[in-house]
Amino acid sequence: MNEPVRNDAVERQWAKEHFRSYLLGQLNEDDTERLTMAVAIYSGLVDDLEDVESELIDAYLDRRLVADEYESFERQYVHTDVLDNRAKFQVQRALRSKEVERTIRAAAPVPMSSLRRPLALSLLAASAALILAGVLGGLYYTKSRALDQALAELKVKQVRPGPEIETPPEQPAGSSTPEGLILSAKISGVGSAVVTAPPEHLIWTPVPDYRDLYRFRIYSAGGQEITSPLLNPQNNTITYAVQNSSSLTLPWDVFVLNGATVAEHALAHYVIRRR
Amino acid sequence: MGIELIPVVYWVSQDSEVGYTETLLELVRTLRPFATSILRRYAPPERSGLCPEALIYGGLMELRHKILDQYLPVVEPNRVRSVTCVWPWWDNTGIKVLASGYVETLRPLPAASGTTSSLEGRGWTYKFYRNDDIEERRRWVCHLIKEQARADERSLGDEVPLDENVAQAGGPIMKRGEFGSKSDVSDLVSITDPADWRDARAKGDSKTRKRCQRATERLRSAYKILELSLTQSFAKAYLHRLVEAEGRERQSILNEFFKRYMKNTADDEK
Repeated sequence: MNEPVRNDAVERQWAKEHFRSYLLGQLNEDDTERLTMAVAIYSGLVDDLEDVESELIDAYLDRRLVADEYESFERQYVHTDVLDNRAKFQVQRALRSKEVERTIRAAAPVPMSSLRRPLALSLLAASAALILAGVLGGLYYTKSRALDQALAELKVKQVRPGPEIETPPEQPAGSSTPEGLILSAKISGVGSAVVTAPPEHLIWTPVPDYRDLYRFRIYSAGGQEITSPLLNPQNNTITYAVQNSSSLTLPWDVFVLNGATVAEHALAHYVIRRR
Repeated sequence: MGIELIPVVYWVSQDSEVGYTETLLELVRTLRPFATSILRRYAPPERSGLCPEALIYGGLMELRHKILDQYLPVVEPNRVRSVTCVWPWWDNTGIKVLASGYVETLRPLPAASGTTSSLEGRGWTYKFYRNDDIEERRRWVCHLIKEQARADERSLGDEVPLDENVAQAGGPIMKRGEFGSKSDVSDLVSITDPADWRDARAKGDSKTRKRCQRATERLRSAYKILELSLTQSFAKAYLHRLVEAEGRERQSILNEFFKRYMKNTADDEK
């Protein structure tokens, strides 16, 4: 605690004015200690220092430094004994490389397509409409046999949400392989697939974000509903072995759900029919 | 060990609204430039074998000793020593100090921080620090870090041989040659999580910035592992684990590498 206590505002300002000299190793030991102590003490100063440092590294890589700064920079960041400085420089340099660019592109989560959002909304609207219809139906159930028939239809619809309401046009989105039925995630609207027999494996690729968990939900024509466990993507793909798939009557409505959140929502919808 | 540092981390940053790990990482980030400069000036790594993170953890451990143990500041004649308040209730109980082997109580405490006062009855002076704001508390950590580096260097004496595995301060040594060729970037990419590269480029609000900082720290750790693995067996072990791991698991390993000195310090104490 024997360090001199200086005026905070003056000390902050002094430090900021000397960031560049410090980063280029042009301050003496006393001033270096004073500046780094200010960075350690005053909130936010380390962010300012890192901004200046990042800009300095970019300037070196873009050859924007003035002549005598190149040697100083290389002494501090390239041919230096300070591993931390070498790491800063090399990581920032790598961030500009094409290889990292490719890596980032491959890892970027695919945003929900514009048509998938209406699908999710339409599912929500459909559920609300069905619940309302159910309440109204309940009032008249005992009085109208004709309505009984309609309610029975509605009940089926409640078990199988989605495909009945304002379904966007279907598009081919599946291909059968020995590994299973591959469903493309890159669809807009409802995807369709034609199979010769109920598939034993469902494969969905590429997932929007490989760090998330997903699940399949299958509604078969026979009224069965099957939900997979949470699936962890491998190589941007989720795979589900459908239990007793042969007993599930085609066609199927298959939904891919975002399973990591409490309020799950459909990311994609496919209709799988027999050829 | 993480549990043992919790009191001191929270004591230093009492106003923090974030969790323990985030607070610790932030503390290390802000203290690292200071620890680096202190190390180069007072205890060069090739002699002391220390690195900035180890010095920071050492300073935090010393602070833990002072705030949790029966720490008695010393007051002496002919020298202005520092007396620091640790807990707010010491305003009522006073602070016990050690004066020539006797325990005396300072009460009431001086109202202002950074003021020089006299020990009643003896006339010995001391400088009083209240530590009631984060800047004063961080200043104390810096002081302890500096004291630790100087003590470490003094304890080594003149006979300690240089560690040839550690680059000498002031000398341009590159053990692995120039980095930056395509294969080197590939090596770095192959042991990191692609999401970290994406996050390291992200710009935006404070939350995004924090995510960017953490991702960048991990990428730098990966680079350090690549370099250190040429000479240090512990880094080879980390490298092996990173090669075997995938995605987010790599983030965990790199976070662990960043905090490894906490564990070392704990092991030393056993």
